[in-house]
Amino acid sequence: MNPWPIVRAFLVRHRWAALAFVFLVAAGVSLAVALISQERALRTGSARAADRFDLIVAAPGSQTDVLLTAVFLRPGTTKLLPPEVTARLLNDKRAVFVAPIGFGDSHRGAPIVGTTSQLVIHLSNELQEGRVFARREEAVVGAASPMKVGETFRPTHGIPRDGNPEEDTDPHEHGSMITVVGRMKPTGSPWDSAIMLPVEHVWQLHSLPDGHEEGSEAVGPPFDPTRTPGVPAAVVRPTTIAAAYQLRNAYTTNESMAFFPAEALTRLYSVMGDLRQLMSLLAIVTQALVLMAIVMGVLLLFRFLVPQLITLRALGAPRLFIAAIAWGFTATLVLAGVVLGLVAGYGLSYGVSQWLAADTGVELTPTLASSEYLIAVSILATGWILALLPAYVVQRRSLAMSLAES
Amino acid sequence: MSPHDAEVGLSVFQLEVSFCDATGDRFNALSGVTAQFKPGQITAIVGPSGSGKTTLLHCIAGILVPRSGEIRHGGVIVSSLGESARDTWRRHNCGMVFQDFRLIDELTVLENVTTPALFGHYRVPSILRERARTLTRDFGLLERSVPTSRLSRGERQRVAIARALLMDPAIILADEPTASLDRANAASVAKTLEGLAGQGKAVVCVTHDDLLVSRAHEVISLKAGRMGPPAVDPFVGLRAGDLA
Ligand SMILES: Nc1ncnc2c1ncn2[C@@H]1O[C@H](COP(=O)(O)OP(=O)(O)OP(=O)(O)O)[C@@H](O)[C@H]1O
Ligand SMILES: [Mg+2]
Repeated sequence: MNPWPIVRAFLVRHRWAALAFVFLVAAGVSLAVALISQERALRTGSARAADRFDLIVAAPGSQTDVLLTAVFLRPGTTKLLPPEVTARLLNDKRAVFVAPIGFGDSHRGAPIVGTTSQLVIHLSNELQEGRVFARREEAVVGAASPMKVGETFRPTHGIPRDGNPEEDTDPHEHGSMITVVGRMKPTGSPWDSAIMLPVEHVWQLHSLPDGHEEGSEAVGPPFDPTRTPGVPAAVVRPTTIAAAYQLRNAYTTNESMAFFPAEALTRLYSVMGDLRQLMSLLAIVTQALVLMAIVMGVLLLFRFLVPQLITLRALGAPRLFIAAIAWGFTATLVLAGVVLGLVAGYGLSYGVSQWLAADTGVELTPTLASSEYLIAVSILATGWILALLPAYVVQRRSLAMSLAES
Repeated sequence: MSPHDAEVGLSVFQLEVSFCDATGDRFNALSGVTAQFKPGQITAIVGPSGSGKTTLLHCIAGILVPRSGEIRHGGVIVSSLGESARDTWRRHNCGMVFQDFRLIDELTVLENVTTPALFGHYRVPSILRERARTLTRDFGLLERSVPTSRLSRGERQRVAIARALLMDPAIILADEPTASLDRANAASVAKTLEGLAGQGKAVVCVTHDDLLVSRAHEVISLKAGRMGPPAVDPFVGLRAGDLA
């Protein structure tokens, strides 16, 4: 007993209807899968990017704005921390290090971040190549930067928005030549394409006090409290968890705010909870559509199949044979649709991730996890059960009746 | 004739079949039909349209179960078997040619002819494939790999006959097997059926075709579901002499 030659012939002869059915199922499955997979990729990707930023202190305002500026390097209009608070923070003993962050320049579309070598080492977890900057004219580049160690450049004033330098009001190169001395390991964040300079250099360029005695060429801490400018944000690495909470409380004042990026992200997601709900609603709607498509498809395909199945019965074919053909035909199509949908859904999610990564610098790795497989499997199971319908109906009706009617 | 006479061979006894018409009233499609279909004989079933010929054929095949009466084959009371047992019986004993052919239009000529071979085998055994080729050739069918929906009516009818003969069944039940055929093809089919009867098979044909009726050893005439007076076949005696 082998129903496959007949199933295959049915598939070939009704290929357009069959293909339409497969694509319908695939479209629904891929949408549902891509939505869920992408949502997770976004969540894990941004969490990973913010992972090594323990505590951020900035001027009071929107945590999201600070997060976008400091972690995701999206140029924004953040207020500065008052210089007194900055000075106090930079010398706080409850922290392993406090890294001020300064922006304002770029080179060939890549943002230049002024900070300390401690943050560079911490973010990168040791360098991939070279060493950290030890002088003000040295720089470390992110893992994805096109610049090589040993290359020199002159920074351009202003940060291009969306990599479009023309929009800048007054782009001009300024300051002295800078040499790249090291490269970070990949962090999965926009820092991968940034250029890191000693913060003193950025302060100097913008004619601010440079954190050290007049004329000093020192880089990094300790900073002179009397010569510390305001900063948009500082990344704090607390010594202990207790210290982390103490620091957060200490700098949550009228003049400053302190927050854990991970927590802020979680809050952001919960704010975006509505969006997530919308996405899962969309996923459910697409699944419902797929199931409806399957039901309709089964009913339509049923019309093609029924006369042939009755013929087989009339010829005395074993019931299992007829059931296998009736089921095999639809089941094959549902399987093809679901598999294609999974692949296409992953592809779609991957494409969106690539596009988002190119746009934001946040590395997104879409995966297919149990929830996507569950969707696929449940659609497959429903389809396979529905595929039993033609077999059942054909077997149940009286053969003489069916023969007279079809 | 008592049903016990028919321990060997195929017989129907006092068949009663009724259907509901459009208004829901019952009417008898067959009443009191008793007949024997001996191995080695061609039996022609004749009668006007709607007289119950196809119904009788379907009863013999175990497709339709009579309200009362019996269908026997050898020691088996086919009419009292369950549905799937009747399917199995039909598969093993009957070659069916349906009035509307009932080909599987998605399949090619050869695939249609070899369909019954798939019921019991994983792949069509080469001996049956060869037999299918011979049958299609004998019936003047070209081996074309197009779906049978593209064939002419006459060609389709011959495919249906070839399919019925593939498994070499003991009983051949053919519903108007020459209705769509030209003289030459009809003659070839008639000759084939005669040959099968000659091999000891019970051949039952519903037909309007004089050619086929003239080759029949027995003619059952139906009228509104009842058997008419036994048809006098002027050729029967003659043919008996021929065969002797
Ligand atoms: N399944 C059924 N339900 C209801 N009525 C039926 C059914 N099958 C057959 N009939 C009716 O029974 C009667 C006999 O039908 P049957 O098909 O046996 O006629 P027939 O002699 O083969 O006619 P034809 O020469 O036109 O093929 C007809 O009136 C037909 O309408
Ligand atoms: Mg008929």
